[in-house]
Amino acid sequence: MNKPIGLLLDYTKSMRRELKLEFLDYFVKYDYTSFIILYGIRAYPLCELNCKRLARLDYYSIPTLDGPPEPYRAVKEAVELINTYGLQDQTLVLVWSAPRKPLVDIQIAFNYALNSMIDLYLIVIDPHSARWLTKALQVIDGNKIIYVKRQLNLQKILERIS
Amino acid sequence: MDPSDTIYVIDASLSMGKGYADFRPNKLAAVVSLISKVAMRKIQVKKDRVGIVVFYGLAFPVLPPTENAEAVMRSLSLIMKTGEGSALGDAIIEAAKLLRGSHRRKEIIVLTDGDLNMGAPLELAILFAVNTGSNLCIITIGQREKIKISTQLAILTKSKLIEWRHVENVREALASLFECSGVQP
Repeated sequence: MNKPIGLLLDYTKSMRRELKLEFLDYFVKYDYTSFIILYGIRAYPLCELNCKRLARLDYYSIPTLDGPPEPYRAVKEAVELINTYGLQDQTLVLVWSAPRKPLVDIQIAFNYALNSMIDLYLIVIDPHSARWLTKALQVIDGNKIIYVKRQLNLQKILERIS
Repeated sequence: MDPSDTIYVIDASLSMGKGYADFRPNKLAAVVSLISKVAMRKIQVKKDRVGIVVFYGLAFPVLPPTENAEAVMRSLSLIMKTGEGSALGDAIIEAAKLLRGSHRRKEIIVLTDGDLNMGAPLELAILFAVNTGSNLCIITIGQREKIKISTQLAILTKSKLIEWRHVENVREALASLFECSGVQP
């Protein structure tokens, strides 16, 4: 059964523009999208419960957010939203380009989601072998991490999450 | 018209601490006084609820939507200081968040003198507000076209969901406020 999903999308310049738009094109139309949050240093909701109303022409006009991306802020924003609306059984999909070590470790983001009883999956875009990233990802359940190295196959990713 | 939940978004950036035309002693004080008149009419006549968000470099909710006229006046009286920066996008998002869960007609009315320079992009903020069902009215004071908007936003403003008004004096500001707020003077 498909789970309702909250997409947390890194919208900084370190994410390839075509990928940003591919994620948005897919999740805006996806039946089980509960909300979409765009994040850089700060996190902002784009749509809640009504994402299908968004027109492509509208979200294509959104400029890049200031980076570097802070995944914890995105997760915090999502948890607040989920609690405000009392949403049940939500899965968060956190998309991250990981250009620099964030101020708040990714592990803390995972912990926060876990403590809030929310399932979280991390999609790392164009992963690199910087030591801080390798170390950070080692302490996270490998089943919750998906690496995207070249092409994006969202259908496959969602099958894995579901 | 059905009762609404309205958030007044008030620009408290440094430039609002200066006078302009008959906005005296300064734009901020004049705007606060105008909003208090209109908000009272909304609460007393239309039974609307009114909330407040203030912004400069940060945006912060001051009052969630309430029918309590005293709370509104008290909150407005606290808005005296200006600060550096101008994060209108953040403020619109905070206003839309305050309206989450409201089953009334949702309105966000902004008073600003433009000069936006930080925070969430305006395109994102407006899309979010509109997507959550809020009607948005942006009233700019003073020099025209200080708020730069993309072509797409300009198209969105042609829809009925966003109104964009420019005012040069207190009389025009008050008239715009009454019209955006859906009350007779």
